[in-house]
Amino acid sequence: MRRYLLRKTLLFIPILLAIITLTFFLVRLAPGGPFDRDKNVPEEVQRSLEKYYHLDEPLIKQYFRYLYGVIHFDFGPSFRKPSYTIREWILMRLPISIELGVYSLIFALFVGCLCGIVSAFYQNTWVDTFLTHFAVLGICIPAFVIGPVLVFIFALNWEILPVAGWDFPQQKILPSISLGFVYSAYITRIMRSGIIEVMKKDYIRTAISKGASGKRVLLIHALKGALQPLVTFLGPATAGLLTGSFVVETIFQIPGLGREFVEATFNRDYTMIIGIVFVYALLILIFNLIVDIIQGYLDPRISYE
Amino acid sequence: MKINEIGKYKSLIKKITPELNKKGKWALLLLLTIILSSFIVPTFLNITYDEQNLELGAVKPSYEHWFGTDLLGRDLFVRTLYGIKISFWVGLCATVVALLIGVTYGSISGYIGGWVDTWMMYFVDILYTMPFTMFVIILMTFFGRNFYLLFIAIGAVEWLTMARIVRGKVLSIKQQEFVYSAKALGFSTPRILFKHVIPNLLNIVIVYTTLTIPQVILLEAFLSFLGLGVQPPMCSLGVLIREGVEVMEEYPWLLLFPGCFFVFILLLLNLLGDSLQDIRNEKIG
Repeated sequence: MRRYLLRKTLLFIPILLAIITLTFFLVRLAPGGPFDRDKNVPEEVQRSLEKYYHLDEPLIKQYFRYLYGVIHFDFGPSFRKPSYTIREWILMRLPISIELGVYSLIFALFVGCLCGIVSAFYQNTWVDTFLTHFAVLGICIPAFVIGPVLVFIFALNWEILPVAGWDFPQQKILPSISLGFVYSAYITRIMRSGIIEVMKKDYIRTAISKGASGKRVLLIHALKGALQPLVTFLGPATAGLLTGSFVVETIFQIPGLGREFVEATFNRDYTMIIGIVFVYALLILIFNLIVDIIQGYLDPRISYE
Repeated sequence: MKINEIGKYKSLIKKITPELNKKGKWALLLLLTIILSSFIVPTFLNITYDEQNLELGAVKPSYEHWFGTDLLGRDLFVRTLYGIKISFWVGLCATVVALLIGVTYGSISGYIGGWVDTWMMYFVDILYTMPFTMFVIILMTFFGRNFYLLFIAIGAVEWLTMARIVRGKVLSIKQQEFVYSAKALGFSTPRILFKHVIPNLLNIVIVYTTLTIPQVILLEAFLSFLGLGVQPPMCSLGVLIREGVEVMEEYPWLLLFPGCFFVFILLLLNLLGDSLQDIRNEKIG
């Protein structure tokens, strides 16, 4: 187990290196630059700007300079926000995005698991039919549709929740629901089919013949088996939540890292783009590792060799 | 050869359609209706999707303008149909790109096997963990919002699952007798791969194509929503939704119609994909 973890963690290094290299050259080889928009800048100013950001050096030298910085978690100064370094900026904005992601995940897990379990428990009744249909429909309603619709209903029509912002708890409800909605539908489906699959297993029959009540069998015996496909789904779901936050943060004017990324690409803020891609890649890798570990815990048959 | 191929497709269609369950048949029928009408209906109307009427401005749905008009007086009904068409085009083309990459990669990996297979699949696993949508966003902003780049960028993201599935199928196909006979006859590896193995993947590829198209349409709409997808004066459903969101307080119908159609189309595509997958699972089980 420890060896497996070590190997996986060591693998982070080439993957992250590949991501940084790819992003660096993708961004640099594109036409246009961060200072194109400031028109009529005197040539000396332009030149001293380039010198300050080391843009006048050969690309390869810049690349290695950047890599050297990344090793020390220093992503350089921002091209567009001169008073901050990228690290300060990310440390300021990342917690907001993570908070949003965590709330959405909690919402999705809570609603999804609840609907899935209820649906499996009352299999082939009208409750099940209703919930299954809700899940099929829910998968087709992405955040950028459900978000505005929720705003329209709760914020503009009924005026019970604020339209945008991220300062008070009330402001956090709508964004979290919008972001988690699709995943709650997915989780409902996964939980339902997972439980129904597990209920066919021998050990469940044993539990039932032992005289355990239906609820007990479902919640104690079947649930653990059904959690496995759910945990597998959580890996890609996190990646989806992170990118989904781009849209949700834009709709609700949340000052998170996702919106910052979209802005940075528009502004060609090289260092900011690479920094955010790096942080998101790292987050996804770490989360996938956690998913791996939980999977091993849930199913001891998985070997780590 | 040609006639033979047409016959093959015909028998394939026949093979699939009667087996689709009721849900799948309805979904297919409705989808075809929507797609065909998005291509045909605009030719009968005397307004185009980008025809402005600034004096008219935004009006509510009426007999003249079924879905109302937007701020520039453009007819939303025509624009929605046009958006559906573009969304489908993007969905189809990007899926073809994903198919080409995924099938080639997956079949090579599965057919050669051994350490090549191990490493090629390892590479796919690594790519899975990459924040690909971010790369697509970077590509779209930096290299101009080119329509063709959009297909390729999205296709380059969506091929991974296809490659995995195709590889698994190839692993089982290459154990079958007809492949051994082809080998015994001395055919070259590329010939066996492209003439004997890949044609047998058709069934599974069709299922995953129907499952990939909604993913692609979703990603395109996501990009368009951020202002990075299809560019004006063209419009896709994603563009229409974004335009609708901006003014939904005063003119809710501008969000309502494109949004409903978007969700509806995704629903139909997903139902069709589910139905096809059910057939496959039944055959296996």
